[in-house]
Amino acid sequence: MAEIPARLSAERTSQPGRTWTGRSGGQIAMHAVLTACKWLALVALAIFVLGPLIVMAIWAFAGQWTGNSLLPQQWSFKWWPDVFNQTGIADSIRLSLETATVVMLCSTVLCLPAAYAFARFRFAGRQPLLLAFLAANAFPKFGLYVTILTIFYQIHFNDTVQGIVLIQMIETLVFMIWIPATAFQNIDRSLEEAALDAGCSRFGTFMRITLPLAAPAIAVAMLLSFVAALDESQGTLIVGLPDNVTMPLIMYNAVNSYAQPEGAVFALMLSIPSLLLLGLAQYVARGRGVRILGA
Amino acid sequence: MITSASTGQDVAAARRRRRYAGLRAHAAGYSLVAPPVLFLVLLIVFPSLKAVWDTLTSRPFDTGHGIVAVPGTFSLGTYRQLFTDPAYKLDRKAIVYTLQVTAITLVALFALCYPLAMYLRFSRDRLAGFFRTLSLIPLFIPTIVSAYAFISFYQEGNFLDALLQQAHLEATLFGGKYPQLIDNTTGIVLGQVWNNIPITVLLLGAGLGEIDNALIESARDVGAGYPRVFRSILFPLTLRQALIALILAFIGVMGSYNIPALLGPTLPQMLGPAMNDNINNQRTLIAQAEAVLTFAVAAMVGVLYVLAVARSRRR
Repeated sequence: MAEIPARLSAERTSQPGRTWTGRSGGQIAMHAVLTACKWLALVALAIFVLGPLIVMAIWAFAGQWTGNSLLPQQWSFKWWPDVFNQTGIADSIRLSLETATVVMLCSTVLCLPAAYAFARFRFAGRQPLLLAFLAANAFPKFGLYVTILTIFYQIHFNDTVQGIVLIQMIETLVFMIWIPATAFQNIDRSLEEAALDAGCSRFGTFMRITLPLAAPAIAVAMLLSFVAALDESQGTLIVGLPDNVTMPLIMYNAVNSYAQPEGAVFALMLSIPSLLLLGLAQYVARGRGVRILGA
Repeated sequence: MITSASTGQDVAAARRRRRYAGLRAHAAGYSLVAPPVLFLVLLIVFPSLKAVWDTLTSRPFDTGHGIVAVPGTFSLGTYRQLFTDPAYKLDRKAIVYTLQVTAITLVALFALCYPLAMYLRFSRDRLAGFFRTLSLIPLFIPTIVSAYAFISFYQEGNFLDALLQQAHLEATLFGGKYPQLIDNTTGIVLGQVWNNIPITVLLLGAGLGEIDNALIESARDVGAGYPRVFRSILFPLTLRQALIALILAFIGVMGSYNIPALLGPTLPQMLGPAMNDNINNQRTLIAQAEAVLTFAVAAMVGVLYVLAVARSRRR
């Protein structure tokens, strides 16, 4: 190990033109080329990530957009009322909001006590079980939905709202377990002990100290679950059709028939609630030190 | 009062109390954790095991109106048919195509995300914050919406086509003909890379974030060039996170439906659309067998990861 630095430093001093004070012309040119490449790559990345979204958003307000023009010839809001007036859309919006709410509530009731237990009780198998919820999220999803459907056929859960709720809950578990568990773990125990010393009951301490302190994290987890359920399409497609058409399922039709302005309007309608709710989650998380995605 | 605590009786009582408290923690822990664990068992463990069981104890039989599962003895018949019977030629193509597309996607994803994560970690320019947010955006867009956005951007006659024409690039670069980027393998790879950027960049960023600047500076001080710093410091120290990112992307791409169904070619199909077609055409057992194959490949990849981590820990 000791020889390597010596060798490297010898190399360094022997390199012509490479000094602390100045660089050779070749190096400056090289640096300029590299910087140019970097910025070109970053601009390309920005176009790759944002381009499709921006073009889609423009389409939603395009009255007329033909030929190889880079912007619409006419701007218009006329597609928005059209989309709302289409038969079935209002129903699917209602169905989506209802199932997402039920999924969020069921997931909360199911997972919150477990999150508390993971944070506060030391029991055998705690760590593997906690990891199982992460692993469940990294399961080949579509194959899983297919195998669930074969069971739903047998118990007549296919094409039912219950079936959709169950399948949408799968993706929410990881949020509802991990985020509140981390919050419960990070609460300063001395606050709870102080309440207990002051004569508060265990339940009272939980309700007055623990729960309020964990509330922001729980709210964030609930918002993320709601959005996950609202956006879920692959599992809902498998168990929900033909009668339970949520908003993402309408989107499949829009993509397949490529009904341009209507599809873009609907795509925006589908992403705006998610973006708003996730923005809200981010805001709550930032303000209260809740950790999402380790950030 | 204080002295009585040292008597044997009280020590035993305290020990009993402690043991009782430990048992109570176990019991309370299990009873609170049981409901979601039961949910996992019922909706993930049981269905996947049932698919394994069904495919191993029945064999597919073509009635002419669909494939029915004929119960039989324990055998690999379903898989033998899937891999040899001419009737399932397209399904075999789907398996090969899935692995190919997944491999291409992973290479493209890492070619994009490794430099991006390094830029976000080491850059001090003001735009780094913008690009950090940018790299997270796909996380907040439903895949189905992203597929629609991709079509309105990349499909022939749409924005990119118009842009290339306006810039006179289509004539000079592609001989006047727009290179079709949607409804083929390119479409799937573009869509999958786009949707996997956030999680990959987050994981690689977490790995790079743990590396101490002093380590890199000292390597630079003794004369290591940037390639050497990458090879000897950055790459080995981010290997674990890179592996996790690789595996998550691998399983995600293999187990997806939306992107291959909406941005991919009609034929060959990836396994997601193939399974969907099979289940809609009363070929349930074949769909189950394909699902089990994706589980098996995912499990193998998972085991490789565990082995890799165990090996790096031993060193």
